[in-house]
Amino acid sequence: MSASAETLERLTQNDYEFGFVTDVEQDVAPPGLNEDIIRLISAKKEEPEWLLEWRLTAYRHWLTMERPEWARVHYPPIDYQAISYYAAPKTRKDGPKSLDEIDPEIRRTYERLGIPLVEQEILAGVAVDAVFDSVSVATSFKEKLAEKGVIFCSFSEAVREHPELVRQYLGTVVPYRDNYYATLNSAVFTDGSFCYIPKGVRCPMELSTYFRINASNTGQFERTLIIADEGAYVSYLEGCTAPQRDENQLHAAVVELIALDDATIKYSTVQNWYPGDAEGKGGIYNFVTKRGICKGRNSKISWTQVETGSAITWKYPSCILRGDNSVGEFYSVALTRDYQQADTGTKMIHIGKNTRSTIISKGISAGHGQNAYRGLVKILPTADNARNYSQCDSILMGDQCGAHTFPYIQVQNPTAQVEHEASTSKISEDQLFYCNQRGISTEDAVSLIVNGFCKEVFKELPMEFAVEAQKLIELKLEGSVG
Amino acid sequence: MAATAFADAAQYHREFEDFAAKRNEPDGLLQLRRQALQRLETLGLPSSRQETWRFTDVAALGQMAFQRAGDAPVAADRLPLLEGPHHRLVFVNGRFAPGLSRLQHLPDEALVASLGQALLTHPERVVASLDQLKGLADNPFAARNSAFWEDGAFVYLPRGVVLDLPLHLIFFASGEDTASYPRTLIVLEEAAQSALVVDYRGQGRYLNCPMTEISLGSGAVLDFHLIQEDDPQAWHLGGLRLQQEQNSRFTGHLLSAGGLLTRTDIYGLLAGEGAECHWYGLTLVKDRQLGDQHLLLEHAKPHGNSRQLFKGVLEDKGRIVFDGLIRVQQHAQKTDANQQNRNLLLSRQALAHSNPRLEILADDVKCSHGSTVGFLDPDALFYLRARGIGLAEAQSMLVYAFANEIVEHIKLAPLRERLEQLLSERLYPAAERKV
Repeated sequence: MSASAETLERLTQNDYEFGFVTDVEQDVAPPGLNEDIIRLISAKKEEPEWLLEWRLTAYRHWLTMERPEWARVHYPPIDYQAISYYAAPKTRKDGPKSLDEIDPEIRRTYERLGIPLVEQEILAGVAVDAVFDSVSVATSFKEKLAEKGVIFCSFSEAVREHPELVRQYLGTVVPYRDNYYATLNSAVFTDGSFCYIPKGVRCPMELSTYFRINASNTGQFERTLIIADEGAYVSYLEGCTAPQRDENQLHAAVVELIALDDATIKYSTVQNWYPGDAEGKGGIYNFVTKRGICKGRNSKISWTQVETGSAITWKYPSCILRGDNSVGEFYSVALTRDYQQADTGTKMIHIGKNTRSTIISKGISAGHGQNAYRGLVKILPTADNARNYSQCDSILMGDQCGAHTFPYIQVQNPTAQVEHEASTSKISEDQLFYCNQRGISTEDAVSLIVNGFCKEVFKELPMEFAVEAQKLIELKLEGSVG
Repeated sequence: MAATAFADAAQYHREFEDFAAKRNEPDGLLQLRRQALQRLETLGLPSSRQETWRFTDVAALGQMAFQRAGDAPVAADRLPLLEGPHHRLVFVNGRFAPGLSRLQHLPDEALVASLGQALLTHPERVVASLDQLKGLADNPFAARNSAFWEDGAFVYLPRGVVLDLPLHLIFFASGEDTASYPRTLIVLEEAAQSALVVDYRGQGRYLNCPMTEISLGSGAVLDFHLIQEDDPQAWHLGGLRLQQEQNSRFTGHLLSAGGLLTRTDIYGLLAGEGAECHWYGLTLVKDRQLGDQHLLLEHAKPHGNSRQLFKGVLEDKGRIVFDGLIRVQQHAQKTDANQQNRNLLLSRQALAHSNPRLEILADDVKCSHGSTVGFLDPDALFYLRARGIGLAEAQSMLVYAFANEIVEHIKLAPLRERLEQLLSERLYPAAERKV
């Protein structure tokens, strides 16, 4: 092993910073999955009858489904009966009226995560909907948003306050029979965020959700639904962490985005779930279904993700480009180290005329990490003058890791233009030498080069997030030059 | 012989016993056939639920019954003969046709014969190499061929032997609802060299399941051409296995223009350091044709070099599937691999699937791939039209130039000229194309 390889190795062996457990009294449902549990979740959340029915239909359908095996990830079968499907901090019962009423312990958790609610509220002007295990803890800035007519609340609240909107859009992008994990989510989802931007409103601030799995033996199944009405604009941020535990925890979320005429939704994720230890023990299974539909003309959905955590990441944020002239974008950085596995990518389904999509995917593998890009670009016969450009690059650090690219391209319209490019390489000795020669240490050089490699994606992130993402990648790569 | 339903295991078991009883073959060979039959039974007929068969639906074969093709006379003028001196072996319905074949003077020790003849004269050589290569283990059509092949070509070039003249293998199929299973076995020992052309042609509604095995010793060089011009009603489901030792060099050209459904599954293993493997493919589809190329190149040793350039031209309701995979094993450092797939869509009903894939487990490699699908470049059309060339002519020139990029790589002049002729007949329509 060369000297630089050793440095790389050392760099990648950085510990997980967010592996603390918050000691909060939890209201946890007994483990197991059956119709009674679903009824219990539904009852706890005081849901209307139609939603319970929808959950039960999803559950019954789930029973007939088989676990998908096609992804390039390996994990033992999950025992769905050993998971508890509902965990709420006990204090939730009284219901916090304002941020001050939130359990100080939880507040401290967020502070350690570096997202103090208050501070963010004031300094960053970001409205945060923080989801702690299964229930939304607090939503800041609600009133300011309400002035503009923006609805931003937890999913359970939306079900209570705006049932007509939820009922109209729930499951229209990701139907309950969509795939194994989305179906499971449809049956047992506990909370999540709901967001509605009315006609012509440009959301005055960036909306943000923070997810954290805290209790052991629980799964987190949140559901996010964002609707941008005609001419609306919203930028939405999502961050995730979990404590360090030996057993694997399941996170199966569903995100649905709906953009009507001239609307724009920008969805950014920085995912840093606990990835398991250096031997690959523990960690989160992150099986997420994210999909947006550009329903109206000139609408736009843009996904940006920085995936650095989770033992297994299995997610494909997708765009259905139905409206004419609609635009879909996918920018992704996925980093795998130790024994992490990632199978991620996107689907761009072009239906409307003059639809455009861009895919930029950057994969970084270190240690024993396995990183796969899997994507679909589908141009239907109706999509005249559709245009797609895809670029998938991978960097390998160390000789034990893998990088894989599986693009699927289906074109049924001759006026469409589809391009795909991909490359795989390691950090070149020349680049390192060039930096070293100018007095930049190998560690710094690697982080410089990797940041340059990811730049196209980072520049799509809102500023505070871009800084965070850059730091996160640097942190994760500490000790892994090769 | 009774017709055999494709999906009926019990029936083809009986067919096999009949067939095997008449063959009178060495035990080792019969053993291989039985193993293949077992594989075939487990695999059954592929369904579109299987990843590698998702876009190529062969379910219709389940309803069809094919019988083993009988002998049929074929006039020499129906064969795609090459001009100039060359060696030629012709097979009709999978059986050797000595009257149409012609071998020139061969170097000593070189063995070019039908498999049937080779089994009589050098059985140990055939048994040592047949069905020994890795790959296509889960392909039922390859298993079918291994169980049922009747005859085919055997080429053995010992160490250092260079075949000066090109060798031309013609497999002609004919008949209604008949099946043939041509087999080709090519073994080039260390530093041997050869140029080879394999032509598949035919007439009628038949099933063609050819299987080709190529083994290249260290430093061997093979210039290989595979031309598929089957009847527009025919099914062609072929397989090719390739294994390359140290510093060997393989250049493959694949032109697929015939058949209702033409699919070739290729597995190439770069088993020695510094092996070089280049594939150039061109698929032309029109009417309701489906052209499918599945290609897996596996780099097992360092310093390998592979190139894949596959192009497709789609007219009418034609469909093309390209699935190419570069797999770089953990120790195959310094691999340089590139894969390109370009499709030209000339009709609104056509459909192109392009799945260029990379699976890389070594860190010090240079691997890339690209894929494009689209219509003719409007700027290029404008350029030509601004110089007084009519739209139809300009379009045809561009389509021809697109396709000819593959054909112009062919070093064998008589073959290249023949294929250029094919391209100009096929790609110059009377009227302009509208999309």
